[in-house]
Amino acid sequence: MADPVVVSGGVPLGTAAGIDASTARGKRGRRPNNYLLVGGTLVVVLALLSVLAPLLAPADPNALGSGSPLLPLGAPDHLLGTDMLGRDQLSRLLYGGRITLLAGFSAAILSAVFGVLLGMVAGFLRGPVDSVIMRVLDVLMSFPFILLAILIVAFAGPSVFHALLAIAIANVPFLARVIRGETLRVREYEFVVAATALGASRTWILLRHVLPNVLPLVLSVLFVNVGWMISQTSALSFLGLGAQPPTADWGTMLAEAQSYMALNGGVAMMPGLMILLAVVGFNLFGLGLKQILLPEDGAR
Amino acid sequence: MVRRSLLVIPVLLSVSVVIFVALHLAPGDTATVLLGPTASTERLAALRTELGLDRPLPLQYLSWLNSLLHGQLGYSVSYREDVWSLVFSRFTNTLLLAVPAFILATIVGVGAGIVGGLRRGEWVDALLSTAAFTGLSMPAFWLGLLLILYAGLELGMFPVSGMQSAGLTTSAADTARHMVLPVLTLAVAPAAVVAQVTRVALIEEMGKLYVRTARAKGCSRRRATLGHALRNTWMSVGTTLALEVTYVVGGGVLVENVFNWPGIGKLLVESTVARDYPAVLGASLVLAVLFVLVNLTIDLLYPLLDPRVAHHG
Repeated sequence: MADPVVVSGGVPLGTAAGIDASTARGKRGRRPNNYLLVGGTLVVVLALLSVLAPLLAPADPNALGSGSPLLPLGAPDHLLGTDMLGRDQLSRLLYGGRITLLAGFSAAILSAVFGVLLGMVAGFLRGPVDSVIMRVLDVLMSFPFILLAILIVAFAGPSVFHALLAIAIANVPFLARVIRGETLRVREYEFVVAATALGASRTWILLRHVLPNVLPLVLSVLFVNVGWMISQTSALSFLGLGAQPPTADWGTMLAEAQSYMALNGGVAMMPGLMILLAVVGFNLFGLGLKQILLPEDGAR
Repeated sequence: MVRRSLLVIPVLLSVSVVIFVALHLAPGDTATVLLGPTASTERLAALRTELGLDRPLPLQYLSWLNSLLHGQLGYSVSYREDVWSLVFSRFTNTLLLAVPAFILATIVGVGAGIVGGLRRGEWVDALLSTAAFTGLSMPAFWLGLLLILYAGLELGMFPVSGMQSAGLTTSAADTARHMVLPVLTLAVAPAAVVAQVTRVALIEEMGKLYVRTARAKGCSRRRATLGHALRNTWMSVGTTLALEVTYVVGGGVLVENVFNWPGIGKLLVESTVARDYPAVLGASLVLAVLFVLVNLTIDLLYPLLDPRVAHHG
């Protein structure tokens, strides 16, 4: 699902926000990167809201009956209303963001570490090692990712940590493939041949010569992936396979919301909006990063 | 082509092993779930023997595989039904959502992609691209809830849960009305992907020399696009179809749970929570097989979409 090639399909987000590769060429450095600006702002705001949750939240997120149940949006003392149990939704949203964002971020980092490691080793060593690694990843990819994630959670029991672990594992193959392809390209460069001729060890070449060359790609994909993984971990939580009540994360909040949304629709929808903003924010940030780090790629 | 088809067998076998091992390593077995935490050790042991849970894992796997090849998936303890018939009826329901969503997504996606590609940089393109980007970023479960809330509950246009209205006899029209919202929800993300890929591929082809040649020879812009460039974009669109399947199958699990639709995805989540191994195994296996076979079909169809592929093997 997190196929970065398609994700970054070179889509300008409206003429105002998008940079057309053909017109941007030659003006780089003078023209602000709007993807990065919009995405970065969203990411920073969401991160700040989560980090500062204890200062900003008007109430304890899990305190029952901190207000009357099912207060609508904009109620006095409860800006975003209350849920079925009278818990303050703004507080739950702020604290929930901490779990959701952290889970998405950790999952992206984890899958990046393993994806880069496997991809680089497979692409660099080639031969039987490459075959074994890629066949195993093929099997992983032959599962729909959510099926794999559900199986892992079924194996380990539902919790945020297991959910993010499952999402991370399910996404390793995608990044590993991209990095393997990139490594296959980099290993043919003359400085790699030169390093080999000078007697450098494989580990040294991988870390000193290959890694820095795949790093820009890794970074941009990483941020796009944070967005997807926020969405995916929330999905598992929504299915009851992630964060467990009474802990608030945006996915579980939506699952709970399903029971009272007929009575209090606006309140029920807020966590979803936050997920959407997070996904859009990280995606744009990743795309913007890619334009800066890999300018020659253009529409890739 | 034969080689590609044979590759499916080890993949399917690995899939079945992974599913089997993962679930049997899980804490809490079927016997504990069935009898509850208060059951005596003797009764648990007796039930385990009866269900064959006390045998070594490889043996359990082989007997499961053997019965699988004989068309038996075992007996679901939580649904009190034969897993094969359970999975089969749920599978039909899943297809009822997946197939229309797939078709809808392809038509809308290709259409939007062509329009965006042709009107590149104009406001239509900007609008469509923004819509595609938002559609792709939208979590399917939230979109489903939004549709339930606004199109279902507030406007009362469509039913929001299950496949049939309660108390009525089964009618196709009623089921069709129940299908509208889930199919729409399911179609959004794949449509967005297809639109993005089609647009980029079309723009790329339009910049190639053969299109310029066609235009120079007096071919109209429309004809150069639809007759020449578009045909060469089928290849990348074909690749996307495989990706689209991922979205439909993965999104289907979520959408079925949002709309309480009795399909494979709902079965999967329910039986996972109930630790009903045979049902989880059956559901996962059907989903994985479907996924693998559809991808195989798409691979085999490439040469039809683009004859150049055949030469490269």
